[in-house]
Amino acid sequence: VSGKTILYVEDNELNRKIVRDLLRHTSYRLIEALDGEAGVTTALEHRPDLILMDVQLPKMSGFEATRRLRAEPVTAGTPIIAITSFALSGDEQRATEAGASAYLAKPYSPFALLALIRQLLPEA
Amino acid sequence: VQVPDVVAEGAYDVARVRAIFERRGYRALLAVPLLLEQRILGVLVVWRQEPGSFGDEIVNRLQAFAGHSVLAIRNAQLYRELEEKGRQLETASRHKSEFLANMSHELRTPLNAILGFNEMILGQIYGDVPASMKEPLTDIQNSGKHLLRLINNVLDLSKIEAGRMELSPVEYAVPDLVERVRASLYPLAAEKGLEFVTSVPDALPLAYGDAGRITQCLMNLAGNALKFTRQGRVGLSVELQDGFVTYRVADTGIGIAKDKIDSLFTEFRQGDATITTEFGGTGLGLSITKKFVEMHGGRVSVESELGKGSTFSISIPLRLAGDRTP
Repeated sequence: VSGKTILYVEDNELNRKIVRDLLRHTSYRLIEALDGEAGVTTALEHRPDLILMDVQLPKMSGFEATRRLRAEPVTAGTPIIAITSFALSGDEQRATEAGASAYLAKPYSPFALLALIRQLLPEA
Repeated sequence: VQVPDVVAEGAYDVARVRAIFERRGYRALLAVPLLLEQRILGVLVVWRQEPGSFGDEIVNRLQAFAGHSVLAIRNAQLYRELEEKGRQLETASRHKSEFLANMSHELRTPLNAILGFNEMILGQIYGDVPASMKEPLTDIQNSGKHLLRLINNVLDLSKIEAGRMELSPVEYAVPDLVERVRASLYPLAAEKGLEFVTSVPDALPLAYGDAGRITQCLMNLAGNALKFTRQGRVGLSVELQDGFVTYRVADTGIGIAKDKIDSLFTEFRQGDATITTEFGGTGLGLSITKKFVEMHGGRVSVESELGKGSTFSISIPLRLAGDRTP
Protein backbone atom coordinates (compact mmCIF):
# COMPACT_ATOMS: atom_id res chain seq x y z
CA VAL A 1 0.00 0.00 0.00
CA SER A 2 1.67 3.21 -1.11
CA GLY A 3 -0.60 5.73 0.58
CA LYS A 4 0.03 9.43 0.86
CA THR A 5 2.25 10.48 3.76
CA ILE A 6 1.21 12.79 6.58
CA LEU A 7 3.66 14.26 9.08
CA TYR A 8 2.26 15.13 12.52
CA VAL A 9 4.42 17.45 14.61
CA GLU A 10 3.17 17.29 18.22
CA ASP A 11 4.85 16.83 21.62
CA ASN A 12 1.87 15.35 23.47
CA GLU A 13 1.83 11.53 23.22
CA LEU A 14 -1.94 11.17 23.65
CA ASN A 15 -2.65 13.66 20.90
CA ARG A 16 -0.32 11.73 18.59
CA LYS A 17 -2.10 8.49 19.54
CA ILE A 18 -5.47 10.02 18.61
CA VAL A 19 -4.24 10.84 15.11
CA ARG A 20 -2.45 7.47 14.84
CA ASP A 21 -5.70 5.63 15.69
CA LEU A 22 -7.72 7.93 13.48
CA LEU A 23 -5.57 7.32 10.40
CA ARG A 24 -5.08 3.57 10.99
CA HIS A 25 -8.15 2.69 8.96
CA THR A 26 -7.37 5.06 6.13
CA SER A 27 -4.78 4.70 3.37
CA TYR A 28 -2.71 7.58 4.78
CA ARG A 29 0.73 6.78 6.13
CA LEU A 30 1.66 8.66 9.31
CA ILE A 31 5.09 9.83 10.42
CA GLU A 32 5.67 11.82 13.60
CA ALA A 33 7.99 14.47 15.01
CA LEU A 34 8.07 15.64 18.63
CA ASP A 35 9.27 19.23 18.40
CA GLY A 36 9.53 22.12 15.96
CA GLU A 37 13.16 21.51 14.94
CA ALA A 38 12.59 17.78 14.36
CA GLY A 39 9.44 18.75 12.45
CA VAL A 40 11.46 20.82 9.98
CA THR A 41 14.21 18.21 9.45
CA THR A 42 11.74 15.32 9.15
CA ALA A 43 9.65 17.28 6.63
CA LEU A 44 12.71 18.13 4.51
CA GLU A 45 13.96 14.55 4.61
CA HIS A 46 10.68 12.65 4.02
CA ARG A 47 8.79 15.27 2.00
CA PRO A 48 5.31 14.38 3.31
CA ASP A 49 2.19 15.14 1.25
CA LEU A 50 0.61 17.03 4.17
CA ILE A 51 1.79 18.35 7.54
CA LEU A 52 -0.21 18.69 10.77
CA MET A 53 1.61 21.28 12.85
CA ASP A 54 0.83 21.98 16.48
CA VAL A 55 1.65 25.63 17.17
CA GLN A 56 2.92 25.20 20.72
CA LEU A 57 5.99 23.00 20.53
CA PRO A 58 9.28 22.63 22.38
CA LYS A 59 12.50 23.99 20.83
CA MET A 60 10.78 25.83 17.98
CA SER A 61 7.18 27.01 17.75
CA GLY A 62 4.88 25.65 15.08
CA PHE A 63 4.63 29.14 13.60
CA GLU A 64 8.40 29.35 13.16
CA ALA A 65 8.62 25.78 11.80
CA THR A 66 5.88 26.63 9.29
CA ARG A 67 7.74 29.76 8.18
CA ARG A 68 10.97 27.78 7.65
CA LEU A 69 9.20 25.06 5.66
CA ARG A 70 7.56 27.70 3.46
CA ALA A 71 11.03 29.10 2.70
CA GLU A 72 12.31 25.69 1.45
CA PRO A 73 11.50 24.86 -2.20
CA VAL A 74 10.67 21.19 -1.46
CA THR A 75 8.04 22.03 1.19
CA ALA A 76 6.93 25.47 -0.01
CA GLY A 77 3.75 24.04 -1.52
CA THR A 78 2.98 21.28 0.99
CA PRO A 79 -0.43 21.74 2.69
CA ILE A 80 0.13 22.57 6.38
CA ILE A 81 -2.74 22.39 8.89
CA ALA A 82 -1.88 24.44 11.97
CA ILE A 83 -3.34 23.12 15.22
CA THR A 84 -3.82 26.17 17.42
CA SER A 85 -3.75 25.35 21.08
CA PHE A 86 -4.77 28.41 23.04
CA ALA A 87 -7.85 29.15 20.98
CA LEU A 88 -6.32 32.53 21.51
CA SER A 89 -7.73 35.29 19.37
CA GLY A 90 -4.96 36.01 16.94
CA ASP A 91 -3.51 32.48 16.80
CA GLU A 92 -5.39 31.79 13.57
CA GLN A 93 -4.03 34.98 12.08
CA ARG A 94 -0.48 34.18 13.17
CA ALA A 95 -0.82 30.69 11.67
CA THR A 96 -2.05 32.10 8.37
CA GLU A 97 0.71 34.71 8.31
CA ALA A 98 3.31 32.00 8.93
CA GLY A 99 2.01 30.25 5.79
CA ALA A 100 -0.36 27.57 7.11
CA SER A 101 -2.98 26.40 4.58
CA ALA A 102 -5.66 25.85 7.22
CA TYR A 103 -6.04 25.76 10.97
CA LEU A 104 -8.01 23.86 13.56
CA ALA A 105 -8.42 24.91 17.19
CA LYS A 106 -7.72 22.46 19.97
CA PRO A 107 -9.57 20.59 21.34
CA TYR A 108 -10.59 19.46 17.89
CA SER A 109 -12.95 16.73 16.82
CA PRO A 110 -10.89 13.88 15.27
CA PHE A 111 -13.48 13.43 12.52
CA ALA A 112 -13.42 17.16 11.76
CA LEU A 113 -9.63 16.85 11.41
CA LEU A 114 -10.01 13.84 9.11
CA ALA A 115 -12.51 15.76 6.97
CA LEU A 116 -10.07 18.67 6.71
CA ILE A 117 -7.21 16.33 5.77
CA ARG A 118 -9.33 14.69 3.06
CA GLN A 119 -10.30 18.09 1.72
CA LEU A 120 -6.69 19.22 1.35
CA LEU A 121 -5.28 15.81 0.38
CA PRO A 122 -7.83 13.43 -1.17
CA GLU A 123 -7.11 9.81 -0.26
CA ALA A 124 -7.50 8.21 -3.67
CA VAL B 1 9.07 71.73 77.40
CA GLN B 2 10.59 75.14 78.05
CA VAL B 3 14.16 76.02 78.85
CA PRO B 4 14.24 79.79 79.74
CA ASP B 5 18.05 79.93 79.69
CA VAL B 6 20.18 77.18 78.25
CA VAL B 7 23.34 78.68 79.78
CA ALA B 8 21.98 78.42 83.33
CA GLU B 9 23.68 75.71 85.29
CA GLY B 10 22.15 72.25 84.92
CA ALA B 11 19.68 73.49 82.30
CA TYR B 12 21.04 71.59 79.34
CA ASP B 13 23.59 68.87 79.83
CA VAL B 14 24.21 67.48 76.40
CA ALA B 15 27.51 69.05 75.49
CA ARG B 16 27.15 68.63 71.72
CA VAL B 17 23.79 70.42 71.70
CA ARG B 18 25.01 73.08 74.09
CA ALA B 19 27.90 73.82 71.75
CA ILE B 20 25.49 74.56 68.89
CA PHE B 21 23.40 76.85 71.07
CA GLU B 22 26.44 78.77 72.19
CA ARG B 23 27.87 79.14 68.70
CA ARG B 24 24.61 80.56 67.36
CA GLY B 25 23.94 82.61 70.48
CA TYR B 26 20.64 80.88 71.37
CA ARG B 27 19.52 81.17 74.98
CA ALA B 28 15.89 80.13 75.31
CA LEU B 29 14.21 77.03 73.88
CA LEU B 30 10.60 75.88 73.46
CA ALA B 31 9.92 72.25 72.35
CA VAL B 32 6.50 70.78 71.53
CA PRO B 33 6.32 67.03 70.90
CA LEU B 34 4.40 65.71 67.87
CA LEU B 35 2.33 63.06 69.63
CA LEU B 36 0.18 60.48 67.93
CA GLU B 37 -1.53 58.00 70.24
CA GLN B 38 1.31 58.08 72.81
CA ARG B 39 3.91 57.75 70.10
CA ILE B 40 6.35 60.57 69.43
CA LEU B 41 6.57 61.26 65.69
CA GLY B 42 8.89 64.20 66.14
CA VAL B 43 9.43 67.49 67.96
CA LEU B 44 8.85 71.13 66.96
CA VAL B 45 11.60 73.31 68.47
CA VAL B 46 11.81 77.10 68.59
CA TRP B 47 15.00 78.90 69.71
CA ARG B 48 15.47 82.47 70.78
CA GLN B 49 18.61 84.49 71.39
CA GLU B 50 17.09 86.27 74.41
CA PRO B 51 16.77 84.26 77.60
CA GLY B 52 13.38 83.98 79.35
CA SER B 53 10.09 82.08 79.17
CA PHE B 54 7.94 81.97 76.03
CA GLY B 55 4.52 83.65 76.30
CA ASP B 56 1.30 81.61 76.48
CA GLU B 57 0.19 82.81 73.07
CA ILE B 58 3.32 81.47 71.41
CA VAL B 59 3.07 78.18 73.32
CA ASN B 60 -0.59 77.77 72.29
CA ARG B 61 0.14 78.55 68.70
CA LEU B 62 3.02 76.14 68.56
CA GLN B 63 0.87 73.44 70.16
CA ALA B 64 -1.89 74.01 67.61
CA PHE B 65 0.70 73.92 64.84
CA ALA B 66 2.09 70.66 66.26
CA GLY B 67 -1.44 69.17 66.24
CA HIS B 68 -1.90 70.03 62.55
CA SER B 69 1.55 68.68 61.70
CA VAL B 70 0.73 65.34 63.35
CA LEU B 71 -2.41 65.03 61.22
CA ALA B 72 -0.55 65.96 58.05
CA ILE B 73 2.22 63.43 58.73
CA ARG B 74 -0.34 60.76 59.59
CA ASN B 75 -2.28 61.42 56.38
CA ALA B 76 0.86 61.23 54.31
CA GLN B 77 1.76 57.90 55.95
CA LEU B 78 -1.74 56.50 55.39
CA TYR B 79 -1.65 57.63 51.79
CA ARG B 80 1.65 55.88 51.22
CA GLU B 81 0.35 52.69 52.87
CA LEU B 82 -2.74 52.84 50.68
CA GLU B 83 -0.62 53.21 47.56
CA GLU B 84 1.47 50.25 48.59
CA LYS B 85 -1.65 48.14 49.28
CA GLY B 86 -3.03 49.13 45.88
CA ARG B 87 0.16 47.96 44.20
CA GLN B 88 0.05 44.66 46.11
CA LEU B 89 -3.58 44.13 45.11
CA GLU B 90 -2.78 44.84 41.48
CA THR B 91 0.04 42.30 41.55
CA ALA B 92 -2.18 39.72 43.27
CA SER B 93 -4.92 40.27 40.73
CA ARG B 94 -2.48 39.90 37.84
CA HIS B 95 -1.13 36.67 39.35
CA LYS B 96 -4.68 35.37 39.71
CA SER B 97 -5.45 36.12 36.06
CA GLU B 98 -2.21 34.52 34.88
CA PHE B 99 -2.85 31.49 37.08
CA LEU B 100 -6.35 31.10 35.64
CA ALA B 101 -5.09 31.45 32.08
CA ASN B 102 -2.36 28.81 32.58
CA MET B 103 -4.62 26.53 34.56
CA SER B 104 -7.41 26.53 32.03
CA HIS B 105 -4.90 25.78 29.29
CA GLU B 106 -3.51 22.86 31.28
CA LEU B 107 -7.05 21.57 31.93
CA ARG B 108 -7.85 21.56 28.23
CA THR B 109 -5.00 19.27 27.23
CA PRO B 110 -6.29 16.13 28.98
CA LEU B 111 -9.83 17.08 28.06
CA ASN B 112 -8.76 17.08 24.43
CA ALA B 113 -7.71 13.43 24.83
CA ILE B 114 -10.92 12.45 26.63
CA LEU B 115 -13.15 14.05 24.00
CA GLY B 116 -11.02 12.82 21.11
CA PHE B 117 -10.88 9.15 22.13
CA ASN B 118 -14.52 9.11 23.15
CA GLU B 119 -15.57 10.54 19.82
CA MET B 120 -13.55 7.89 18.01
CA ILE B 121 -15.10 5.12 20.12
CA LEU B 122 -18.54 6.50 19.28
CA GLY B 123 -17.48 6.72 15.63
CA GLN B 124 -16.67 2.96 15.91
CA ILE B 125 -13.09 3.20 14.69
CA TYR B 126 -12.14 0.73 17.45
CA GLY B 127 -14.91 -1.68 16.44
CA ASP B 128 -18.65 -1.97 16.77
CA VAL B 129 -20.25 -0.21 19.73
CA PRO B 130 -23.25 -2.05 21.18
CA ALA B 131 -26.47 -0.03 20.98
CA SER B 132 -26.75 -0.01 24.79
CA MET B 133 -23.42 1.84 25.11
CA LYS B 134 -24.20 4.63 22.69
CA GLU B 135 -26.23 6.63 25.19
CA PRO B 136 -23.67 6.67 28.03
CA LEU B 137 -20.88 7.42 25.54
CA THR B 138 -22.92 10.34 24.21
CA ASP B 139 -23.40 11.50 27.80
CA ILE B 140 -19.62 11.48 28.26
CA GLN B 141 -19.24 13.50 25.08
CA ASN B 142 -21.85 16.09 26.08
CA SER B 143 -20.50 16.45 29.63
CA GLY B 144 -16.97 16.80 28.27
CA LYS B 145 -18.10 19.53 25.91
CA HIS B 146 -19.91 21.24 28.76
CA LEU B 147 -16.75 21.13 30.87
CA LEU B 148 -14.81 22.54 27.94
CA ARG B 149 -17.22 25.48 27.64
CA LEU B 150 -16.81 26.22 31.35
CA ILE B 151 -13.03 26.11 31.08
CA ASN B 152 -13.14 28.33 28.00
CA ASN B 153 -15.24 30.87 29.90
CA VAL B 154 -12.74 30.98 32.75
CA LEU B 155 -9.91 31.33 30.23
CA ASP B 156 -11.69 34.16 28.43
CA LEU B 157 -12.46 36.01 31.62
CA SER B 158 -8.89 35.75 32.87
CA LYS B 159 -7.61 37.02 29.53
CA ILE B 160 -10.04 39.93 29.59
CA GLU B 161 -8.96 40.79 33.15
CA ALA B 162 -5.29 40.52 32.28
CA GLY B 163 -5.89 42.85 29.34
CA ARG B 164 -4.73 40.17 26.93
CA MET B 165 -7.99 39.75 25.05
CA GLU B 166 -8.00 41.11 21.53
CA LEU B 167 -10.72 40.97 18.93
CA SER B 168 -10.06 39.23 15.60
CA PRO B 169 -12.36 41.14 13.27
CA VAL B 170 -13.47 39.63 9.97
CA GLU B 171 -16.19 40.26 7.41
CA TYR B 172 -19.21 38.10 8.20
CA ALA B 173 -22.83 37.64 7.25
CA VAL B 174 -25.25 38.05 10.16
CA PRO B 175 -27.65 35.32 8.88
CA ASP B 176 -24.76 32.77 8.81
CA LEU B 177 -23.91 33.57 12.39
CA VAL B 178 -27.53 33.24 13.55
CA GLU B 179 -27.84 29.96 11.67
CA ARG B 180 -24.75 28.61 13.41
CA VAL B 181 -26.30 29.42 16.80
CA ARG B 182 -29.62 27.87 15.76
CA ALA B 183 -27.99 24.69 14.50
CA SER B 184 -25.90 24.28 17.67
CA LEU B 185 -28.72 24.85 20.12
CA TYR B 186 -31.62 23.29 18.22
CA PRO B 187 -30.96 19.80 19.68
CA LEU B 188 -31.11 21.16 23.24
CA ALA B 189 -34.41 22.94 22.51
CA ALA B 190 -35.89 19.83 20.92
CA GLU B 191 -34.82 17.72 23.88
CA LYS B 192 -36.67 20.05 26.29
CA GLY B 193 -39.72 20.27 24.00
CA LEU B 194 -39.19 24.02 23.48
CA GLU B 195 -39.79 26.01 20.34
CA PHE B 196 -36.61 27.73 19.13
CA VAL B 197 -37.19 30.22 16.32
CA THR B 198 -34.86 32.71 14.66
CA SER B 199 -35.75 35.62 12.44
CA VAL B 200 -33.36 37.73 10.40
CA PRO B 201 -34.37 40.53 8.00
CA ASP B 202 -33.62 40.08 4.30
CA ALA B 203 -30.78 41.85 2.55
CA LEU B 204 -28.59 42.75 5.53
CA PRO B 205 -25.26 44.27 4.48
CA LEU B 206 -22.06 42.40 5.39
CA ALA B 207 -20.93 43.01 8.97
CA TYR B 208 -17.38 43.48 10.27
CA GLY B 209 -16.35 42.33 13.73
CA ASP B 210 -15.14 39.32 15.73
CA ALA B 211 -17.70 36.84 14.41
CA GLY B 212 -16.43 34.08 16.71
CA ARG B 213 -16.89 36.20 19.83
CA ILE B 214 -20.30 37.48 18.74
CA THR B 215 -21.40 33.90 18.10
CA GLN B 216 -20.14 33.04 21.59
CA CYS B 217 -22.23 35.89 23.07
CA LEU B 218 -25.37 34.70 21.27
CA MET B 219 -24.68 31.11 22.33
CA ASN B 220 -24.45 32.34 25.92
CA LEU B 221 -27.71 34.31 25.72
CA ALA B 222 -29.70 31.70 23.80
CA GLY B 223 -28.17 28.89 25.89
CA ASN B 224 -29.28 30.68 29.08
CA ALA B 225 -32.75 31.26 27.66
CA LEU B 226 -33.14 27.55 26.87
CA LYS B 227 -31.74 26.62 30.26
CA PHE B 228 -34.10 28.83 32.25
CA THR B 229 -37.23 28.04 30.24
CA ARG B 230 -39.29 25.01 31.19
CA GLN B 231 -42.00 25.42 28.57
CA GLY B 232 -42.88 27.68 25.70
CA ARG B 233 -40.44 29.24 23.31
CA VAL B 234 -37.13 30.96 22.83
CA GLY B 235 -36.77 33.44 19.98
CA LEU B 236 -33.67 35.02 18.47
CA SER B 237 -34.41 38.02 16.27
CA VAL B 238 -32.22 40.55 14.51
CA GLU B 239 -32.81 44.19 13.68
CA LEU B 240 -30.61 46.76 11.94
CA GLN B 241 -31.02 50.39 12.95
CA ASP B 242 -28.71 53.41 12.64
CA GLY B 243 -25.67 51.26 11.90
CA PHE B 244 -26.26 49.02 14.93
CA VAL B 245 -27.32 45.38 14.77
CA THR B 246 -29.54 44.41 17.68
CA TYR B 247 -29.82 40.72 18.54
CA ARG B 248 -32.78 40.05 20.78
CA VAL B 249 -33.13 36.77 22.69
CA ALA B 250 -36.61 36.43 24.21
CA ASP B 251 -37.82 33.53 26.33
CA THR B 252 -40.90 32.47 28.27
CA GLY B 253 -38.80 31.29 31.20
CA ILE B 254 -38.62 31.91 34.94
CA GLY B 255 -37.79 35.62 34.62
CA ILE B 256 -35.58 37.72 36.90
CA ALA B 257 -36.58 39.86 39.90
CA LYS B 258 -36.04 43.62 39.36
CA ASP B 259 -33.50 43.96 42.17
CA LYS B 260 -31.39 41.11 40.77
CA ILE B 261 -31.05 42.49 37.24
CA ASP B 262 -28.16 44.83 38.01
CA SER B 263 -25.87 42.15 39.42
CA LEU B 264 -26.55 39.74 36.54
CA PHE B 265 -23.53 40.90 34.58
CA THR B 266 -21.12 40.58 37.50
CA GLU B 267 -18.91 37.50 37.28
CA PHE B 268 -19.85 34.51 39.41
CA ARG B 269 -23.25 36.04 40.18
CA GLN B 270 -26.53 34.53 39.16
CA GLY B 271 -29.99 35.93 39.87
CA ASP B 272 -30.38 33.85 42.99
CA ALA B 273 -28.34 31.26 44.90
CA THR B 274 -31.19 28.75 44.57
CA ILE B 275 -30.86 29.14 40.79
CA THR B 276 -27.31 27.82 40.93
CA THR B 277 -28.57 24.79 42.80
CA GLU B 278 -31.38 24.06 40.38
CA PHE B 279 -29.91 25.08 37.06
CA GLY B 280 -26.15 24.97 37.60
CA GLY B 281 -23.76 27.25 35.75
CA THR B 282 -20.90 29.46 36.87
CA GLY B 283 -22.40 32.88 36.28
CA LEU B 284 -19.60 33.73 33.85
CA GLY B 285 -21.49 33.74 30.55
CA LEU B 286 -23.22 37.09 30.94
CA SER B 287 -20.21 38.94 32.29
CA ILE B 288 -18.10 37.68 29.38
CA THR B 289 -20.86 38.54 26.93
CA LYS B 290 -21.03 42.09 28.27
CA LYS B 291 -17.27 42.52 27.98
CA PHE B 292 -17.13 41.25 24.38
CA VAL B 293 -20.05 43.49 23.40
CA GLU B 294 -18.38 46.50 25.00
CA MET B 295 -15.10 45.70 23.24
CA HIS B 296 -17.11 46.04 20.01
CA GLY B 297 -18.44 49.42 21.15
CA GLY B 298 -21.91 48.03 21.79
CA ARG B 299 -24.13 47.51 24.80
CA VAL B 300 -26.30 44.89 26.47
CA SER B 301 -29.73 45.37 27.98
CA VAL B 302 -32.30 43.21 29.68
CA GLU B 303 -36.02 43.36 30.34
CA SER B 304 -37.64 40.77 32.52
CA GLU B 305 -40.68 39.93 34.52
CA LEU B 306 -40.64 37.24 37.19
CA GLY B 307 -42.52 34.17 35.99
CA LYS B 308 -43.19 35.63 32.53
CA GLY B 309 -39.81 35.53 30.84
CA SER B 310 -36.80 37.64 29.91
CA THR B 311 -35.48 39.46 26.87
CA PHE B 312 -31.74 40.02 26.58
CA SER B 313 -30.54 42.32 23.82
CA ILE B 314 -27.10 43.13 22.50
CA SER B 315 -26.53 46.02 20.13
CA ILE B 316 -23.25 46.18 18.29
CA PRO B 317 -22.08 48.36 15.43
CA LEU B 318 -22.65 46.64 12.07
CA ARG B 319 -19.07 47.54 11.30
CA LEU B 320 -16.53 47.65 14.10
CA ALA B 321 -14.62 50.93 14.45
CA GLY B 322 -11.16 50.70 12.92
CA ASP B 323 -12.64 48.88 9.95
CA ARG B 324 -9.81 48.61 7.43
CA THR B 325 -11.85 47.28 4.54
CA PRO B 326 -13.39 49.72 2.02
